[in-house]
Amino acid sequence: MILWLLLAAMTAGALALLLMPLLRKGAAAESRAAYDLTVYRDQLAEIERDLERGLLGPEEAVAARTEIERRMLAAADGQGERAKDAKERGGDRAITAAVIAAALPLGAFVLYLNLGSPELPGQPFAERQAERSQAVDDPAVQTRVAELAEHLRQNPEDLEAWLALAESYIALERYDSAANAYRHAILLAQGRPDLFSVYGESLVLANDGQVTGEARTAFGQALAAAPGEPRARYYLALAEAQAGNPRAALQMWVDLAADSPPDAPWLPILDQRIGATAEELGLEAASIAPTPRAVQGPSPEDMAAAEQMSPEDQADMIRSMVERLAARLEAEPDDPDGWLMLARSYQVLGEPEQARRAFDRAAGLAANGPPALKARIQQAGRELGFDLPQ
Amino acid sequence: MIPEIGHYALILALFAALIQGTLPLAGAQRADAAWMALARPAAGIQFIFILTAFLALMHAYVTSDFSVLNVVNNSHSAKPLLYKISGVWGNHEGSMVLWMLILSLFGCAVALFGGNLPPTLRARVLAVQGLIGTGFLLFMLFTSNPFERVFPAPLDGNDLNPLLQDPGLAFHPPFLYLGYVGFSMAFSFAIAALIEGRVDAAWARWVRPWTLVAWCSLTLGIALGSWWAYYELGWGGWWFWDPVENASFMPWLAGTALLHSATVAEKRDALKSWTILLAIITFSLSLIGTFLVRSGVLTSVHTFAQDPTRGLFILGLLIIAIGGSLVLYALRAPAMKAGGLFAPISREGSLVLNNLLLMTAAATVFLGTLYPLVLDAVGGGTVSVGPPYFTATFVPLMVPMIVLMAIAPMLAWKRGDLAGAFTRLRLAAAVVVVIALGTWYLKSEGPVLAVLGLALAGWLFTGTLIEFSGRLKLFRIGMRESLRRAAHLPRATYGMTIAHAGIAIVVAGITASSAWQTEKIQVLRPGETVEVAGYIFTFEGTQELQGPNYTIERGTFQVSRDGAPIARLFPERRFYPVQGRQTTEAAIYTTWFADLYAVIGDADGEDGRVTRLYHNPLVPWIWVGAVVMAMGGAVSLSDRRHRVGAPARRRAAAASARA
Repeated sequence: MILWLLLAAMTAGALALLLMPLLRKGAAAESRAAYDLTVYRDQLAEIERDLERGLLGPEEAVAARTEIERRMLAAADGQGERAKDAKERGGDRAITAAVIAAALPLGAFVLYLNLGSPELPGQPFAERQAERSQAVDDPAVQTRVAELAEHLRQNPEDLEAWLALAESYIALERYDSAANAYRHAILLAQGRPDLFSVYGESLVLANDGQVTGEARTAFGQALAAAPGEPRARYYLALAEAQAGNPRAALQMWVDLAADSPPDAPWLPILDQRIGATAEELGLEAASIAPTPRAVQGPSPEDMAAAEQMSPEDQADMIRSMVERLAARLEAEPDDPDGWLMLARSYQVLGEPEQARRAFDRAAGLAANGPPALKARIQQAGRELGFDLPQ
Repeated sequence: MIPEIGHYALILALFAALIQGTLPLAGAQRADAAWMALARPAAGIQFIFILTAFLALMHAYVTSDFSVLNVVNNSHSAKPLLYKISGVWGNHEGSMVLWMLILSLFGCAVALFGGNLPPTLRARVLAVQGLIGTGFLLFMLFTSNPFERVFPAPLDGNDLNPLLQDPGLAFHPPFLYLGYVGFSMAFSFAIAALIEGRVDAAWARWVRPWTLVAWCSLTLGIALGSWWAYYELGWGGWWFWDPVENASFMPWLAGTALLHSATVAEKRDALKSWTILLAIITFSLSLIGTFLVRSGVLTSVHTFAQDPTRGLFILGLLIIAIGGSLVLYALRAPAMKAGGLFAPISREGSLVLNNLLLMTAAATVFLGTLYPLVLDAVGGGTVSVGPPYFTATFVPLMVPMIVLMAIAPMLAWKRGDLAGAFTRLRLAAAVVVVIALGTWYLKSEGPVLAVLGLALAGWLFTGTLIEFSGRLKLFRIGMRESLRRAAHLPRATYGMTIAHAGIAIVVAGITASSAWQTEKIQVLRPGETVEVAGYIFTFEGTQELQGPNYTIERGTFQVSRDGAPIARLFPERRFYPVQGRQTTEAAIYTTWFADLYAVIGDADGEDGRVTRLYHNPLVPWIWVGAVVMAMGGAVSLSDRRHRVGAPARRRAAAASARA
C-alpha cells in the first residue's frame, strides 16, 4: 500500500512540474535575432578589450569589426521572424495539459504493471540473518562438512569420508569443492571407475550445466568400466546437444529411455528432455524409434568409451587429475594433507622425484605445525620411503 | 520496495523523455510557445527520476539486496563498500543507468543554464536529447532492465569480476561516460541547427562549452583507463589498441577535431557545415564505441545469438540515430551559406589541416577496430589487427600533426605569415637539434623514431611557450607590462597553451616508454638479485595474507642503486574464491622520470617465483600530460565569452516588469 502511495505521489509530482509552465502564461519570447545579436555584441566588446590591451593591432581590429558587423546585419535581416517565433495558441494549452494529465499516469501504471514486481519487498542482506541460518547452507550440512573435513585431515585416506564430503558439497551447491572431493576419492580408489560418473556430473554442475571436455572424459571412463551406465549416457547425449547436434542427442536419449527400467527415477527428466529437444527440432517425440538392438552399431557413447579404454589413456586421465590437484595446491599451498596426497599420486604414476618434491612441501608445512601432523608426515614418509628432512 | 520505486522512476523518466522528445520539436516547428515550454520541465523531470532510479539501484548494491537480479549477478555481500558502489556501473544494465543519468544531467543543465539560447533552438536541442533518452530508456526497460527481481532471492551474489575491483576502474567509467555522453550535446545542437536550417557564429559559441566539458572528461577517462591497464594487467604496457580502448579513442580524436573546427566557425563563420558533420560523427563514434564494441554485440557473436533482442535493438537505435542524422545532414547542409574566406596559409587553413589529420587518424583506428569484428561477425574468419598496424598508420599521421601544432597558433586568421612563424620558431628548432643530439648521445643504439619523437615533443613544447611569450611580448616591453598583458589574456588562450604543452609531455612519455622500456622475466628464489636498467632488484620472498574477499600472495623486492636502497616493492597476486579468479597487482615505484615496476607470477614448484621486472622511462609523463591537457580544457571553459547571457532587451523588460 505504501508503495502505491509513493508511486502515485511520484506521478503527481511529475505532472505538477510538467504542467505548471503550460498553465502559466509565459512571457513573450525574444526573437532569434536578438539572441544572435547578444553574442555578436559580446564579440565586438571583446575586440575593443583586446585592442585596448594591445592584444590586437588597430588594422586587424577594424577588419574583425567589419566582419562581425556584417554578421549582425545578416542576423537583423531575420528580425521579421519575430512574429512567427512568439505565436501563442491559447486554446491548445488546456487541451495539451489535459491529454498529458490523463495519458502519463495511465501509460506509466500500465507499463509498470507489466514490467514491475510490486509484490516483492526489498531484501537487504542485513535483514536476512534468520533466513541465512535456516537455509540448506546451515547448520546441519555445514557442521557435517566441517566434521568431515576435520576427520579427513586426520585420516586423509578414508574413501567413504571423501564420498560423503562430496555429497555434502553437492547439497550445498558447492560443485567445485564437490568435484575436488570426488577427485581425491578417485585417486584413492584406483579401482573404482563407478566414481567417474558422479565426478563428471559434479564437473557439469560446477560449469553451469556445460559438459566440458574433462567431464566428457570422465563419462567415457565410466562407460568403459560399466557399459550402458545411464548417468554417463545421459550427459554424453547432453554434450552432443551442446555441441550443436540435437538430433544425435535426441537419438541417444531415446535409446537410453528404451534401455531404462520403467520405474527408473531419471525417466521423468529424460522424457522432458526428449520432448523439449524433439519440439525444438520440429519432430514428434513418439515418432523417434530407439535404435534396434540387432543393428545397433557402436553408439557414440560406446565410441567415446572405446577411445578411453587403453591403459595409457587411463593413466593420462589420472595424470590430468593429479595436475589439477597440483594446480590447486599452488593456489592454496597451506594444505599438508593435499601435498601428501599429491606425493602418493606421483608415486603411483612412477615419478619419485615429483613425489619427493610434493612430500617436501608437506614436510615444510609440518615443520611449524602440531606434533600430530609431524607424526603423520613421518608415517607417510616411511610408507613412501622418504625421510623427513631435519 | 526501494527497487520498485527505482523501476517506476525509470518508467516515469521514459514518459518525460517521450514528451521532451516530441511536443517541443513539433512546437518549434509550428511556432507554439506552449509546447516548446514543455522541454525544460520535462528535461528536469527526466533527470530527477533517473537520479532516483540510480540511487535506488545503488541502495540495492550497498545493502546487498539479492532480490534484484542485477545485484545477484554482479555483487557479493563480502565485497568492500567501494566496489559495491562501483559495481552499480560495472555491468551492462547498471552502466546503462549511469549513461542515462549523465545524458539527462546534460539535458537538465541546458534547461537550467540555457537561458542565453534562442527558445526555438533550445526547444529543439532538448527535444533531440529527449529522443536519444527515449530510445535508450526503451532499450533499458525492455531488454536490459536493471530492476529485474528474483524470487526466491539467493542468499548471496556471484561477485563482480575481480579485474574490475580496483579503484582505477571504479572511477574511470563515470569520466568516460561524461565524455561519450557529453558529445550528445554537440550532436543535439547540430541536429537542432539542421532542423532550424541555420548555423552561424553564435551557434558555434553556444555549442562550445558543452563540447569542452565532454572533451575534458573523455581525456581524463581515457587517461584513467590506460593507467588502470598499466598497473592492473601487469604487462608493463599502458595501451594495447584493443577494441575497448579504441572505442574511447575514436570519439576523442573526432571530438578534438570538432573543438578546433568549432573555433573557426565561431571566429570566422567558416567551416560551418563541416563542424556540423563533425558533431554528428563524434557522437556516432561515441555510440558505436559504447554499444557496438563495449556491449560485445560484435566482439562476441555468441552473446548476440543468446540474446538477439538486445543486439537487434542496439543496431536499430544506431541505425536511426546515425543514419537518420546523416540523412538530415545530406538534405539540409547544401543549403547552408558559406562564411568567411581565408587563404590556405592562415589559422583557418592550418585548422583544416589539423581536422584532416585527426579525422584520417580516427578513420584508421575505426578501420583497424571494426574490420576484424565485422569480418568475424559475418563469418569471414578471424584476423588480428594489432599494434603494428596502428603504429604503422597512426604515427605517420601524428608527426605532421605535432609539427603543425607549434606553427598554427602563430598564424593569423585569414592570411598567415609562414616565414614569420618559422623565424619565431628558430629557438624551437635549436631545441630540436639539442634534444636529438643529446638523445643520440645517451642512447646511441636508437631507435631513430624515438629520437624523432623526443625532438618533436621538444619542438611542440618550446613552440607553444614561444607563442605564449609572443602574446605577452615577453622581453620586448618590460616585465611589468608583460604581466599586465598576461592578466588580460583570454582564458581560452591559456587553455590552448596549457593543452598543447600537455600534448608535448604526453608525446615525450609515449616515445620514451615505448622505445626504452627494459623488461626482465625470470625465476627468482628468495635472496637472488636481478639488475634492471641500473637498478638492483633483490627478491626477499613471498608471504600469504588475507584480504576482505580475496587471499593475497605478496612478494617483496628490495630495490637499490649503486648500493643505496631506493624502495621496497610489494607486488601481489590476489585470488578471489567466489569467482575463482586471480588478479595481479603490480608494484610501482615512480621517480617521475621513470617507473620501477614489479610483478610476481607462479611459483616454480619450489621456493622460486616467476617474476617480471620493468624499468619504464618517462611513463608517468603520459598521465601527467593528459591531466595537463584536461586542465587546459577546463581553463578554456572558464573563458568569459561562455558566460554571455540572454538578450539585454529581455533583461530590461524583466527589470521594468519588476518595477
